[in-house]
Amino acid sequence: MVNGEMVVSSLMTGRLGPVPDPHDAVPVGWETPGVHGEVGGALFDEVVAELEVLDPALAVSATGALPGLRDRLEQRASAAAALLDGHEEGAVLRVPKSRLADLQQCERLAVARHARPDAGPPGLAALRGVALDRFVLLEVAQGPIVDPVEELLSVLDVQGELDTCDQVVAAASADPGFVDDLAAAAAAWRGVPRSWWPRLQSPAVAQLADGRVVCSGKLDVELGGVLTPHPGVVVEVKSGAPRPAHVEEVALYALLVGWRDGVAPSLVARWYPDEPTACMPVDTGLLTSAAARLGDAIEQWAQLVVGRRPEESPGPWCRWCPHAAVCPSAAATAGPTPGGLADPDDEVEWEPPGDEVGP
Amino acid sequence: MTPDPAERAELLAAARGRLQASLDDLLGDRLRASGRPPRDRAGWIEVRDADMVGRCAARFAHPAPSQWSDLTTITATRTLGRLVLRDRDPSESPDAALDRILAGADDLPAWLANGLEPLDRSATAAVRTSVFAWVADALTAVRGRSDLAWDGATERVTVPGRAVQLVARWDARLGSRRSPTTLLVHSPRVADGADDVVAAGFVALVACHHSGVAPERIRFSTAGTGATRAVAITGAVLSTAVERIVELVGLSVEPDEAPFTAGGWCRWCHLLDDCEVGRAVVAPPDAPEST
Repeated sequence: MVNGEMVVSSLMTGRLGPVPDPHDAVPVGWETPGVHGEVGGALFDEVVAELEVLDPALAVSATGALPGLRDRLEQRASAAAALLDGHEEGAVLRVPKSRLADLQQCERLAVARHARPDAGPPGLAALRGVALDRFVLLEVAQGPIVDPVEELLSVLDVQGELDTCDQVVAAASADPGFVDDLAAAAAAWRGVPRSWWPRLQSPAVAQLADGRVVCSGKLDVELGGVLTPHPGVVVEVKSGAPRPAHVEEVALYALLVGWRDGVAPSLVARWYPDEPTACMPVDTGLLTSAAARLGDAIEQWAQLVVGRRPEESPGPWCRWCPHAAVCPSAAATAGPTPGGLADPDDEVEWEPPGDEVGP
Repeated sequence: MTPDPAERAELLAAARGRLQASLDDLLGDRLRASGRPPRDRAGWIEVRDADMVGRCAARFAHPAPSQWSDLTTITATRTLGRLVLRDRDPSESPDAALDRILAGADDLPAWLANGLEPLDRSATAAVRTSVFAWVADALTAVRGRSDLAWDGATERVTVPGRAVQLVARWDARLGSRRSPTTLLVHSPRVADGADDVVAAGFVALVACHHSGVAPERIRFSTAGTGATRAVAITGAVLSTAVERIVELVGLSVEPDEAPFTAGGWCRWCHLLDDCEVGRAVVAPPDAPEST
């Protein structure tokens, strides 16, 4: 039992009926020959190779740790929510993945981006991050990409992302091939078998303290898991350079998915174009550290909401901080960004609709 | 809640009677109408399930003009997701079921078939992906229950004699189509206990209007949580919804009385240009003091 609910893997498997062996299953898509990359399936092969050498006991013990971690976080979230009493009745304290990341970088950045959630890293890099997510979608759901910009526009249009469409058109008029490399790299996603139920942009949400605290993330790709006979895998798609914070992001996802499904995923991974997939087994330590960071962020945000002054922690993020022009710490960091480009995947994160409080 | 359908029918009838009487008291000769609302809803008030938990009265009292837009993943996903879960053979993957449904577009609602028809291969892939994620999330939320009938709908009920239409969506049911015992609502909205009560009363009142029998309970699942929470339908729960409907209709007929309340919704609000409290929330703040 997890959180009072029966672990559902076998139940789900039985309900769904027989599922073919993943290596025999028909890949999704494939109808049209593509011009970008002839050999697909690299990512899936890497993931399967990692799973084959994984000790299954790790995921079992990680799953066993989920209720205790939840209980401890519930206590911290309840205390944080209590801080809000008298501040704004009925409002919800939200700590989505993006806010957690902001808080770990700089409290003032988190406050500023709460007020201006559209403020983010520089345009073209962020746009390439958006494009890569859609190219992965296309490779998984339809097969090879023939015309990257046109297909990107089609996807964004039907997703209602009309402003982003305009940005793509502008970028493509300056450089028609500005995302060709990403479209080619996304070919690594071909051939994920249907039996693994590849899901893109699926939500994982923890409602704590009777719903007064909400922690959320939107997963780039999920494979396997409780709906299938396969181990669960969460993959974060990254268009920028690897960063330590990305490890913390996927650890948070493992925690949220574990609570959502009642079963911890076996593996979390980060996929960067043209790099080997960075896989990490999910164990109790990974989940414990993720829960601790989340608890810290909830407490931080609650304190900021009720009026504590945000601390400034200058860094590369100052370059896209809405307060950069008025923050003395940001002025002190003017000049070339340490460590290279801003993180283009640091886009505005999905949050479930609802009420929210903020400083 | 009583399992006796006759008692549940009485409960619903009583709530409907209270709603009618309260609106008569409130409106007098205003908003008299017969028949169905025009396509553009001009002159009519529409109260939706999402309005049950709205926190800004002005936003409801001054609704955005209704606009027809092309089909998007947002508008198509829930309906297609329900169809997949409704029509899927137990041995069939959702992906295959969706293929079959899209191939037989003639059987889809006209708005959906017409919206899907012009989509190219890439746009269709985006829709498929969104639907698949919804289906997986809904299945996770109900923990594999196979006795749910996913034949939910968007129900529209016109208050007799009034230009007031109530709109509620639900996704799945337990029990018969005629007299479901439980209705499931799977939505992205995060709500708290009090919100659940008023929303449950509203869904019960609207979704079961035609059958005339209140369900025993409404069950909500919030996308991504993998869990559901139930509200038993009682006279008190239905009354809460009736009071909220009357309150909202009152705001609509006296829109200048509706107060503006700032919140997370302000960023996307159509009233933002004319709303001081909203602009204060959304505008880049003055540099705060910091340590």
